[in-house]
Amino acid sequence: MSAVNSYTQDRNPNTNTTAAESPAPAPSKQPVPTAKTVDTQSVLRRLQSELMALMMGGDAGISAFPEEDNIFCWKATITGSKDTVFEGTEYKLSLSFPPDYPFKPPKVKFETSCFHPNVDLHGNICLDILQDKWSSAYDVRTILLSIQSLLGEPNTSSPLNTVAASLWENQEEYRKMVEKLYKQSA
Amino acid sequence: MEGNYIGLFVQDMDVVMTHGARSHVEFNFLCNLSVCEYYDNILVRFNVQPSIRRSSIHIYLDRSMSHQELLEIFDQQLRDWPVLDVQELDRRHLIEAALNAAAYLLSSMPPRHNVLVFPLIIDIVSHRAVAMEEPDFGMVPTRDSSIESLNITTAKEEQSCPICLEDFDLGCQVVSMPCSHVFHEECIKMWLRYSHYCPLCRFEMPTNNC
Ligand SMILES: [Zn+2]
Ligand SMILES: [Zn+2]
Repeated sequence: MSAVNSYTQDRNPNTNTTAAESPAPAPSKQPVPTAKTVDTQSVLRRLQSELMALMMGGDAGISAFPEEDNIFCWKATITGSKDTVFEGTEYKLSLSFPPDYPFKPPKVKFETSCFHPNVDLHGNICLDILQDKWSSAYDVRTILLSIQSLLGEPNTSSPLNTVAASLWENQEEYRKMVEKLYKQSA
Repeated sequence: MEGNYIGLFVQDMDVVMTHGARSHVEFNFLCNLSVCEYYDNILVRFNVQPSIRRSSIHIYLDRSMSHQELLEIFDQQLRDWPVLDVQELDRRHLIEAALNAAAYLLSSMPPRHNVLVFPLIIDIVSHRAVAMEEPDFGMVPTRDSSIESLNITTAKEEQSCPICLEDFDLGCQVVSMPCSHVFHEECIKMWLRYSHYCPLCRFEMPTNNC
């Protein structure tokens, strides 16, 4: 995360020289690797091939794309599956990839508030494949599909949102709640 | 995440107008340092240090100086800056950028000015990872001796590695796990230093605890 940029601003009233720009040297340093050294280039290649696969794959109800200038941060959307209380709602998520991805899972958060037993008020998700059950063979696609199915099949035994967990039994009321909160957040 | 961003700005150039040839150029440096601290790639703290005004650098134009000499003058001056985070390579870029800016402005000035003053503002944004305990997500690594005794073969079929997603080059070194799943040697060895499960089938490898 290092770069040297330079530009000059000539605001001298005595001359008519316009703002001058001197050539910006190339970025000079790679991010410092962590203890178990994972080559940054290979992380970039893997993220690029995931992006290609996602764009070709065309899975219904999920999409993801890197932020403009940082391939280590992605924005994603998940649409609630048919025949679940989340049908017709759409959620924005953020994924941030560690420098040793895919050996460690990305951090995934809901950016749109999501009333769900396994999502806390800050958008943090409790999902085993993003923690101890992480595998280096998982990718953005499997993560998003897992979160999409988690929406319809929460784990209510160890909830982050206890209100949502206790309301889950009453699907009709739950649907109303989801709609109400979704309208508020939109 | 560690590293620096350095921006160099030439601001409000004062030109002292007198008749005669240019005699010298003066660079006044003002240095702004901001520190971004990250924990596990998430920005946890951002603070801006007070600006540090440094003595100016004079370059006399009546003596002819080579590019190399100029570089050395700048380098000398920057050497004792209280900015520990400026890496060698960054500093060289900074010096080059300052010289480029100077050369450009000098060439675009009418020759009547005899002193040019460049107030240069240098913004250094330093990115640091802060040492907090890194979460290990509850993953348990494979025992070292089991990693060392993995069955290494050469790639035969046209297949891809489930970890890096790249195709095996024919004849490259691959590891066939006891569950017979195949990965690049490098990829699977790295993974087993994090986990003791096969990435595809969760076949369990020995850990240090058993
Ligand atoms: Zn591989
Ligand atoms: Zn396996």
